[in-house]
Amino acid sequence: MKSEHNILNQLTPENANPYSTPVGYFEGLPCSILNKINSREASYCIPTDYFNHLSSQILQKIKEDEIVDELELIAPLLVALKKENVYSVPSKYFETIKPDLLHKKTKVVSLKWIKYAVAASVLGAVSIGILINNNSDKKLQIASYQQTIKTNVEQGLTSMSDDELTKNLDETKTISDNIIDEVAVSPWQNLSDLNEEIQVLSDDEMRDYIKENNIEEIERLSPNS
Amino acid sequence: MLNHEDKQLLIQFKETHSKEVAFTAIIKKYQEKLYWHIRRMVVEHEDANDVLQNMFIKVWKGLENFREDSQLYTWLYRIATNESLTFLEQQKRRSSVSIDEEDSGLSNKVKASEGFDANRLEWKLQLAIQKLPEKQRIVFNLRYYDELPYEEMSRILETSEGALKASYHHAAKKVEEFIKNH
Repeated sequence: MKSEHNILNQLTPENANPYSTPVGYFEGLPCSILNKINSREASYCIPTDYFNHLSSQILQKIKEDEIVDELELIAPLLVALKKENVYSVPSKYFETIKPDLLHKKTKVVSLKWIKYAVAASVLGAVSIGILINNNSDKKLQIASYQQTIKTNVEQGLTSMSDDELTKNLDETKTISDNIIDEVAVSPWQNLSDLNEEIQVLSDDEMRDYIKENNIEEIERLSPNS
Repeated sequence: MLNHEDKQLLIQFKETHSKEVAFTAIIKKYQEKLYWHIRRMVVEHEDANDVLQNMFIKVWKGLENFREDSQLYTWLYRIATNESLTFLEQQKRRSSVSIDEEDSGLSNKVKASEGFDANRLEWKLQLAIQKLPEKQRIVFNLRYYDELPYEEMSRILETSEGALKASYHHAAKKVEEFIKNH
């Protein structure tokens, strides 16, 4: 009994717990618990609209696999190639593309063709004028005129600014379109070029178009008719 | 048929007050895909820019009458393809070149591109693509780069799926051969 008393006496609050904790355990406990709560929440998070896009993502992956499998069979070398864009684009091109578009109502004509278009139009206009006003025995004279005009036009063009050329082109009603689309192109090619425009016409517009362009006449002239 | 987002954009486009906003959103959404589709056809940036702008002007004029029984991007791709072909056709007429010369013209444009490196496979691939006949080139680009299903390509190009598969197989084989031999 005496010995039991001695033992109990030895169990002071300080040495009653034989277990130890890591240094700073309790100080860090709340923080540790909160971290665990946060990390568990994070693990259950899904991106916004994840399920809305899941099926399309899976289908996209299936399609990509089909394309790779197909290419594997016919040209395996191409599967190994990176599909990167090797061509460069001016910086911020895609950010600045919009404003121009909304205010353009006419066809964009590249500046690099303007010089040729102006030259062709002047040559063409003068030649037609000559052809109308002269008969066939003056062909040599026409050739001489054309050469002279060509030289003059070339000399004139090199000294013209792009602005002047653009103005000139506007005044001559986008000659390249007129010449190429109305003269050099056959009616069938013209119709082919207009395909996509025709697709978006309303029925009334289509009827007007047929009336204005005398489509029956074109069909009659077709080599297949 | 139309996806929800495109449907909303088309509704907005038909309203005068939101027309430009909707059109801007359509451009933003599709501009890069369409640009690269065109660029691979015409090679030079300035030409691609001209074609892209012309095609979007046509879209602006025609979008109100767009039949919603097909996807918007199918319609856009078709216009982009037609515009690119028209551009190439006009170039051919302007310069009166033969088919062979036209191929080498496009190849020369590739070679003149910024950063061109004849030893890199990616550039050899571009040269090989420019050697393809026009229609095969379009089919190859739509399948290889844009990864479009034959069904969609069939709507864009108004050609049967079987013909498109055959065309793509021929094109891919030719491209691979070119890369192996150069």
